[in-house]
Amino acid sequence: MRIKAVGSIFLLASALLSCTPDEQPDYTPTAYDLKIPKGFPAMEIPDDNPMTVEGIELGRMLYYDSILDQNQSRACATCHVQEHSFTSVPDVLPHVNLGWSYNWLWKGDVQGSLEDIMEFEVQHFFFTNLDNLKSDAAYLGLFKKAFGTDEITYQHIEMALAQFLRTLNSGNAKFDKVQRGEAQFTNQENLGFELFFTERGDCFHCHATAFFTDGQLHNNALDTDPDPGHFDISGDPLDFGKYKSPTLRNIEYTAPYMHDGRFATLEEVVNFYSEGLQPSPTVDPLMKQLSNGGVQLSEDEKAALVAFLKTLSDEEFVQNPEFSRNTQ
Amino acid sequence: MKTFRVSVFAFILATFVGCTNNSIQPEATSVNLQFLHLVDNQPLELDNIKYTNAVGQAYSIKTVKYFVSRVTFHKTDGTDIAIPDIHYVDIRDEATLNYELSEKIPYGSYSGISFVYGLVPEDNVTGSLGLELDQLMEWPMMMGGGYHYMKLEGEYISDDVITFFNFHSGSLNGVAYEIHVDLPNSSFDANASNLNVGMAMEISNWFQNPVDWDFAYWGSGIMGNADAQATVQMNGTDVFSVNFPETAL
Repeated sequence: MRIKAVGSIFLLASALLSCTPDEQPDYTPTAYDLKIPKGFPAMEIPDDNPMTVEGIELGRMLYYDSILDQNQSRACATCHVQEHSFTSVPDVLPHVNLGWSYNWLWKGDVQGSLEDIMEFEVQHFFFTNLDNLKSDAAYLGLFKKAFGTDEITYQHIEMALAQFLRTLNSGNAKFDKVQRGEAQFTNQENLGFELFFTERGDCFHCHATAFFTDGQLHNNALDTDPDPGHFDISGDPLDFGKYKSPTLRNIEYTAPYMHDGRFATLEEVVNFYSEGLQPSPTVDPLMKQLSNGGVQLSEDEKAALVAFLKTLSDEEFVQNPEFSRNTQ
Repeated sequence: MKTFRVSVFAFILATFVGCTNNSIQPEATSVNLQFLHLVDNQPLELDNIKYTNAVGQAYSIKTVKYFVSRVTFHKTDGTDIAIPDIHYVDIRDEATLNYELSEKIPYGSYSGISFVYGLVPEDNVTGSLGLELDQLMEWPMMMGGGYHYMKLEGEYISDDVITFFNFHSGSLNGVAYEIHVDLPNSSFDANASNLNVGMAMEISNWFQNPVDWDFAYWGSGIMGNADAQATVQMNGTDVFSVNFPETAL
């Protein structure tokens, strides 16, 4: 009798479970163990979008596929080219270490998580037509594996892209190896390192370690009549000319420089900060040598600073096949 | 019958004890810190070169960011209630100008309040305060690591030239310059559920008493200057005053 009762309960439970709308026998995602570069803080990953092998693979497929574009003419990777640290044209910020970012785009158009900025990209930049994906048998299978769903939604696309982007982490440049005691700077690089992290060169206030950005928006004294910058978003006159501090990781690969790509080389950038600053009402007080035109570096110091900036190049990152188009 | 009487007595006793337990919860006050910023005893007006320091230089204030930590309430019976919080204030971020401490303080009579302006060495550890503060307030390892205690920035006029100043303080190469502030006239009685503590920074005092600060002499950046850091520490002891407003900001 007792056995019968237990058996009945088991059968009932099985029946109830099998009747739940969440029943997804094909949905067995594999948890992804994200490796965080040494010296980086922990990455906050939303509870409702845990990283899985299947989700990342789907995100990678979407990243390289123009199917996201309403006109199917361009993909994320059209502008975000791996060999250039996932950037290419001047007004495109690189896709590197974005799992730690919270202010998005040059003008700070969006604040929030990677999912939030992906919502912007999918729905307001690409104007993705869901029917294109829904009519693709291969994608139907990939979404099923990644999210256990037969219904492809904007949210699933955004979650998959966010998962892939959380893997694009660069933390194995010479700079990192020196921090870990695995390499040494040359004398010139070391001078550049000192200039960068002291108020002599004063780069660190806007390009803080470990990501070489402070994530904030600044008017860095480019012009006496600056482009609007964050003013376009906030409408606050105090935000005129403010743009996001870009990461300097892999800066060697991301020319041209500034929000409008006005500088073709790192040497031009350093010359600007040395003696090319221009006054305007909203220049950030961190540009404290504005009245002198800049920090007034010697030619040796300029060369040293450029040499140090090149120690932020992570060749492994820009060649990592796990981040490239999946051709299989 | 005797058993019944005992049971009734026990029930009544238990009921009373239950009530008593509920009513003898220690009474405690939640404390809300309100940060005010003044120059010459008037509310600070940002971005306006309208102030004059003790050496006659006109100046403005554009940035005020700092840490307040280890707020301690001193009871008249000699015991201290130390709150372990670290709070970041940014004058341009209203959400940071009000802060409810994470722990309540017991009812009673208090002789005063003290706190640390900046961070004591145990709290001043690179990477310990979260990503945003790591990026906003980093004090480079090159200069000893940890965080800026304060970023006070603005413009000054010297020889008819308008120049930025970055009055940044922090621990330099292992030497700590945090300021242990004993707030004057900060005695109070905690006898209600909430207490507002107004902490007013008189910004002009950073630039005087005991040392009259000459922007041109010290230069625009002082992070690597131990004498400047020591001077900031000395000048900072009388920067804060306190009041107890009845309403929250």
